[in-house]
Formats: sequence, structure tokens, C-alpha cells
Amino acid sequence: MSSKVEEDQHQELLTEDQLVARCVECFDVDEEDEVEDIEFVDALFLSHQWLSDSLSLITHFVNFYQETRNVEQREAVCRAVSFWIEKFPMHFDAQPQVCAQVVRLKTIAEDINENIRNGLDVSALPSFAWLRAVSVRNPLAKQTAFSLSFVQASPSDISTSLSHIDYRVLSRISITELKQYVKDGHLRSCPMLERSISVFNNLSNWVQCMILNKTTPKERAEILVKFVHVAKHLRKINNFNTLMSVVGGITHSSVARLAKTYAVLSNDIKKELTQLTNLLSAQHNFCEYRKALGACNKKFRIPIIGVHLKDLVAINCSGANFEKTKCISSDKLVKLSKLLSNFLVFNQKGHNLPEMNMDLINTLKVSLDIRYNDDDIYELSLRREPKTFMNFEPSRGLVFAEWASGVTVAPDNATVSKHISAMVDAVFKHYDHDRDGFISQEEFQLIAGNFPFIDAFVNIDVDMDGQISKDELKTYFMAANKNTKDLRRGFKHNFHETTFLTPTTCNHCNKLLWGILRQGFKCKDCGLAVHSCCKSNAVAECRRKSSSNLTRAAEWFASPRGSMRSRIINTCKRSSRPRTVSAVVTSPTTEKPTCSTKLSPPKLKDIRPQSESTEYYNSGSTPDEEIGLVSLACEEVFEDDDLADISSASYRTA
Amino acid sequence: MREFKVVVLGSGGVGKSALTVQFVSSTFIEKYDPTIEDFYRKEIEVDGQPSVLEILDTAGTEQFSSMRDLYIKNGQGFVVVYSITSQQTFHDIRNMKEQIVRVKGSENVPILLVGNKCDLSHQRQVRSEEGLALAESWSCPFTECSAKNNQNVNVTFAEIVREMNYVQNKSRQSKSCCSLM
Repeated sequence: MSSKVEEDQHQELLTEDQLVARCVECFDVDEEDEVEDIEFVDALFLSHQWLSDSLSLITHFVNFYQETRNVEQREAVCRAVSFWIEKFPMHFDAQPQVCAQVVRLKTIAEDINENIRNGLDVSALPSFAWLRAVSVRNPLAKQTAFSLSFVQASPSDISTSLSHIDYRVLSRISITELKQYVKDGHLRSCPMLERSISVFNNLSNWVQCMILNKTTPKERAEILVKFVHVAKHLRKINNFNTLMSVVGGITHSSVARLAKTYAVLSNDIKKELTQLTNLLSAQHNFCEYRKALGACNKKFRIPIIGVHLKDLVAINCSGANFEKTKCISSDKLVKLSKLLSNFLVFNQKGHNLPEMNMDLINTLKVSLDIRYNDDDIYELSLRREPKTFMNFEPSRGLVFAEWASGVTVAPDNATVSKHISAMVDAVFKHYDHDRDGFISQEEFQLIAGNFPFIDAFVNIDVDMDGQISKDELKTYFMAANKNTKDLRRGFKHNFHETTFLTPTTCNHCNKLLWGILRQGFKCKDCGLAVHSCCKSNAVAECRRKSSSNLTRAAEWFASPRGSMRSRIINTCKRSSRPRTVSAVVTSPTTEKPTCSTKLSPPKLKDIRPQSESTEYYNSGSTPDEEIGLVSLACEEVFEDDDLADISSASYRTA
Repeated sequence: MREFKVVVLGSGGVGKSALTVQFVSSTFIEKYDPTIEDFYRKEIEVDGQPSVLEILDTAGTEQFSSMRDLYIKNGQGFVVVYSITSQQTFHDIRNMKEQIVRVKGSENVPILLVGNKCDLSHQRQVRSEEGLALAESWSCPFTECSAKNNQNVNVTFAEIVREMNYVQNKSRQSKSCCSLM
């Protein structure tokens, strides 16, 4: 009988007034340190901002104090508010109106015991200003032997840095944003939530690209193994959110389909990956994950925000909606507080992550700022390991709606610029040993591994002095980031002279491309093949198979390449001797740019199917023919008005 | 008793959760708790055969691309939902079948196209004919329902069970044809 009554009591719907009254009852006890039904009290304070706001709640406490004549109840009100201040100080931080109500309560509580009144103190709150700052500069840890290179950095350092990044963005998601998202189902007015989801998605994409960037199954397997170790360490430090993102990248369809790469993996790694995948499985409503999360309930952990957003959406679908009815049962309040406690903003616990290294964090931030197109990633996967040996056709191009690719919102230019500047400073701090403001090619190769599809050294070294300056590196990354926003280039074909290995017909005149070497031209973007004399007459629209970063990066640097080609023309004119490729390769360092200009950049070749023909230069070509080819290339470059404008801008800045 | 994993896909705000919760909650509305292990599991009898459905509702996680990839990989049937009151939500799902096919690696995937919120006929932006045309291009069944009014909800999930059974049987037949050759 009594249990039935108690059960009904828990199901009874309560207004905010009644919730406050219930809370005061819990503090109306003889022993000062005892609180009756602590679960309800914690739930009320933790969840109240989901239901209304702190000012409303404190006002109810003050009103309750004024309305009651009972001294014990008045003391209970003071104890309740003191408990609130002590346990949830973040609710009073930078809330002058809320603090004013506390001061008012203390003022009118003159006849209350001094010990109890002293708890009503909001003058010594810990500061939470760092949560509202756009970025926080922390003192750098002194670790001289620290590597920024992905290949050389330890899995634990990478996972620690990723965890700091994730913790920072997750802590800034406000309660208002969560409420808005749960109600509307979209991110239009939730910038911090959008940012955290963007970091999640970009990390997943970065993992995929780091794996797919390698050309052989063995190399891809090595990167994959490294990420499995990163994932294991994330599990060890209970960062489930970043773990979900990394494992999501490793097991993504574009990587999971690489049978040859998986064949290289050892059984131990496969077993570990399976265990991690099972831990994060959605089966039985994420029960494995929920068990693991519950097991470390007392420690610091970072829950998977996606799972708990899902829970909030589901609980919001239940009958009782506080916004409309302004009523909630204590049972539901306790359940709600358990859900909300999985979001960092409701807990505001300090983290106990291992010590951070700002330089590695700054480097990884730039990696996570670069955004990749889902379709491009899948196309690259098909090129790495085609579906069958007989099928070299890329899949039909798909244009997903923006939401279908998952949000990867571009940070604003100021944020990107700040991230890139911090990364460049970190790189130069670690690799510019003689402090002359430049890094060499060998040093550059170490850090380049962090950025899939990064351009070759010579394209970043725009003044071609054999070293990279801070300005050159910053300019490159700002441009690389900007390029991912560009729309498709339109109808201009990107023709290059090509040797076709199979009989090919001209798309314009439908006749065979004759010859053995360099029979004609091929558009790198859409694959259109034409005679040299038909090139200018091609009317077919350029329908790119994919708009990859590679093409855009190449386009961006057409201007410096044009400049380089002009210099090559002058060099060739002065030279009286024929030059061979092998001679160029063995010539001094200053000649290396020339060699790279002639040969196709290796990374461009890497993404082509093996059957696709490659550019080919006859080693026996005469200087005159070389000059002709270079002139033709220059003409091709400046035919494009957009590129000409870029060239003009580049010249003006120079 | 057979068990099926059904993934509910669609952009945010179309009512996926309302549809799912309406389906799974009719039996134990009193102890409503979306975090318990069996919250999304429910028995259903279709054409005289009992089955257990585990619903993977993607509401709240639409924007998490790799999570959705994992859902699709582990799913067996797919309910693709749009709202008849929003042309944008219909536009958003047009390429959903291609994505499902890409992840599953097969063209034979059981899909059901659903137009939700059919109780709001005065706010309709997507005609039934448009939904039907998209379903025909996907070679899959189509239905409209109202999760709010519990209209056609059970029919919707019964239909995806039929579709999963149909695809399964079709797959067996093609195998037996190969063996005959």
C-alpha cells in the first residue's frame, strides 16, 4: 500500500513551484549534512535549464522563502540554494541577475543561523570564462623531443591531442542549442553543435583519406594499424566520441571494401578492430556502449554525442512536453537528468586528459579543417582497388544533398587563418632548427604525411629557392582550404598531351588517333580524347568525373607553374646543348624544379587507374621541340581568363 | 522466430522518431525509457508469420556521416522517410538509394519509401504522385502515414517486413537458377 502511494507520488506531474517545494522538503531535516532524496535534488539542479532557466528557479526559491512563515522551511531554502551554489557553480558564473537574487535572499534571511547563511556566497565562484572564449591559449608543455609528423607521433599523443580538440568543442555546446536541435531537427541556429559534428565528420574523413592516400595495400595497412592503435588509446582514456569517429572512418564503406588491404592485416589487429566495432555497435540500442559508459561513470569520460542526441529526440517524442504543459513528474525528471548528464555542458567537470601539446593539437586542427567530398573519397577507393579487374569505370557521379554527406561546415576565414598560423608556427618551431625562417625539403617531407594530397614541395616553394618560408606555407594552406569551397570550373577542358595505350578515337571528329607516342590530347577532368588539331574545336561540355582537391590544387598553382615555364624558356634559349631527362635528374639542386616541371607530379598519377595512359616525354626530343611544347603549355594556361586573373593578381602581389 | 534490423532514414524533422516511437511504444508506454536495451525491439506478425524487428532510428544523428554508414552496413531493411509538408525533405532523400546500394554493395536491398505527416493535408507540398514516381524509379513500395495519428504506422513496418521477405526469396530463386545452369 505504501509503495503504491509512493509510486503514484513519483508519477504525479509537478509545476516548477511544486518542484521547488519538493526540493525544499528534501533539505528540511534535522541533521545539517543530510539531504533526503539526493537523486531528485541533483536531477532538478542539473536539468532545470532544460525546462526553464536559472533566474526563474532562483526566483521561485526566493518567493518560497518569503511566502512561508516556518523557520525550518526558511532554513531549508537557504540550505538548498547553498547546495546548488556549491555543486553547480557554473550556473551562477557570469549570471549577474541570478547572483543578485542570491544576494537578495541572503539579505532578507537576517534571522537565519549564521552558518547556514554563509553558504549563500557567490563572490568566490570558480571562473568558467574559458568556455565562452573562442580560443584559449594554454602554456606550452616543454617537450623538445616531440614530433608533429603523423607517422612519427605516437598513437597515444595523437589520441590525446584529438581528445583535447573534441573536449573543447563539445564543452561549448549550449543548452539552448541542444533544445533547438532536438525540437527542429536541423542545425541552422546551433553553431557550436554544428562545429562539433563537423569536427566529428572531418576526423572520420581524414582517417579515410590518410589510408587511401597510400598507393599499395601494405602501406595502407600500416596507416590502418596506426589508427587502430589510436582507437585503442581513445578507449583507454574513455573518449567514446572520438573513438566512434575514428572507428567510423576505419570501417567506412570506402575503406572496408579494400579487400587487398585487409588481407595484409594480422589476425590480432582484425580481432582488436572487431572488438572496437562491437563496442560501438548500434545493436540492442547501443547496449555494449552503454555498459562501458556506465562502468566508468565516476571517472571523466566523453560520451558519444550522437547517441545521446538520439535519446533526447526520442524522449522529446514522449507524451509530456514541458514546454507546453509546464509540468513534469519527478520520475521523468530523474530520467531526463541522466540523459543530460551525458553532455559535457551539463556536467562541467574538468577533464583529466594527459598533458596537452599545443603544437600537435594545432597541426591536427588544420588537418581537421580541410574538408573532403564523400564522393571523391569513394572514387579514390575505387581507384585504389577496383571492383573487378575487368571494370575500370568509375562509378556514376553522385551529388548528395548537403545534409546527406553529413555537415562539414567551413569554419569562418578568421578561424581558419588562426588555425593555419598556429600550425605554421608549430611546424617552424619544431623543424626550423637554425631559426632562419625556412625549412628544407627533407624537413617538409616529415610533416607532409599529415595532410593527404598535399602538393609537392616545389609547388609550395613558389619562389623556388629550395626552401619553404612561413609565408609560403601559410599561403599554400589558405589556398588549399579555399579551393575546397570553389564550385566546378565550368566547361573548359584541361587538355594534356597523352600517349594512349589502346586504339582511341577523337571525340570531336570520330577518327582514330594515329601514331605510337603522344597521339593526341586528353582532358584530365572528364577523359575526353581529341587530336591536337581538334583540341580547340571540342564543343563537348566538360563534365568532371570528380572535383578532387588534386585538380583544384593544380589549377591554383598554374600561375606559378606558368611563371616557372617562362623561366624554363629563357633557360632553354640560353642553352646550346641538348638535354636529356637523366642528365636533368642528376644535375645540381637548383635544377630540380625544372625536372619536376617536366614530369607529372607523382600524386596525380597515383589516382589514375593502371590502364589509363600517362604523359610521356621522349628523352630524345630536341631543344626546339622542348621550347615548342613549353610554349604550347603556356598558351594553354593563359587561354583561361580565370587563371589569367589569378596570374595578374599573383604578379601584383609579387 | 526471424529477426530483422530496420533502419529509418530521412532528413531531420520529418518525424522519424515519432514514427518509430509510435510503433515500439504501444505496448509499454508506462515505462518509457529510450536508453533501455530492448526499447527499439518489437514483435510483429505479417501474413501469419511472427518476426522481431529491431528499429535503428537515425533521428538526431542525421548529420553524423560515418555513423549513418555504420547503420546502413548493419541494416537489413530501410525505411526512407520524408514529410509531405516539406519539398526540401523529399529533395534530400532522392539519392538515398544510391548511398544504400553503395554501402551494401548490392542492388537488391529492401527499401520502403514513406511520406509522413499525411494528417497535415492542408500544408501538403509533395503530391502523392511524386512519391509514387520516386518509389517506382527505386522499384520499391510506397506509402503515406501519420505518426501523430497512428495512421498506417503498423502497416508501414509490416510492408518493410514483406519487402525483406520478398528480396530474400528473390535472392534464393536466382541462386537456384544458377545451380541449374
